[in-house]
Amino acid sequence: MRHIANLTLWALCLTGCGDTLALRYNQAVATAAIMAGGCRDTLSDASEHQVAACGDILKTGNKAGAQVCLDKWRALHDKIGEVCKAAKIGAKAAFDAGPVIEAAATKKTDMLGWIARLVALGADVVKALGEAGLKLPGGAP
Amino acid sequence: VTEILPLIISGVSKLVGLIEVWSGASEEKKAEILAKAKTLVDGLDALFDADDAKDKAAMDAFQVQINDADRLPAEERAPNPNQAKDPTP
Repeated sequence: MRHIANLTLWALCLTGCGDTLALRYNQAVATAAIMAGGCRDTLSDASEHQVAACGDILKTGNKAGAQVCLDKWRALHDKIGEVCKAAKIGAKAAFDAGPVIEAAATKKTDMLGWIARLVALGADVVKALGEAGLKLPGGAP
Repeated sequence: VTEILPLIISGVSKLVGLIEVWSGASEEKKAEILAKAKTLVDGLDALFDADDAKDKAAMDAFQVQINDADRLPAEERAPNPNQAKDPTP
C-alpha cells in the first residue's frame, strides 16, 4: 500500500510538483524579503525608543549611565542589524538565482535547498529579535 | 472492512487534495507571486539605507548630547532618583 502511495506521489510530482515548487520558491523569497524588511523596521522602531530611554537617563544628570546605555544599544543594534542584513542578502540572492535554478537539471533539489536556507534566515531574524525582547510586527511574543 | 474503508477514503481524499494543490498553481498566480517577490526584494536596499541613516543620525545626535551634557542647564535635568538626598534641612 505504501509503495503504491509513493509511486502515485512520484507520478504526480513528475507532472506538476516542479511548477508548484517554483511557486513555493518565489513565495519563500517574498517571505524572506518581508522578514528582512520587517526585521530592519522593527530594529529602527526599537532604536527610537531605546535612544529616548537613554535620553531619560541623561536627563537625570547621569552622563556615564547614558553613555553606557547608548554603547550597549549601539552594540545590540549592530548585532541585530547584521542578522537583518543577512536575511536581505539571502532574499536577494535567492531571487537572482531563481532563473538559473529554474533551468538547472537539479532544479528540485536546488529549490528545496534555497527554501531551507531562506527559512533558516527567517528563523535567525526571529531569534535575534527575540533575544533583544523584540518581535516582528504581528509576530508571536 | 469497517476499519479499512475509512482509511482508504481518507487516503483518497488526501491524494485528491494534493492534486488540487499541485495543479492549482496557475500561470497568473505564479506571475503574481514572482512580481510580488521582485517588488519586495527591489525595495529592500532603499528601506535598509533609509533606516540605517535614520538610526545613525539619532544615535550620533544623542552622542553629541551626552558630550555636551555638562553644559546642560540644571532646569532641564530631571531629578536623579539614585542620587543621595541632601540631609541638611
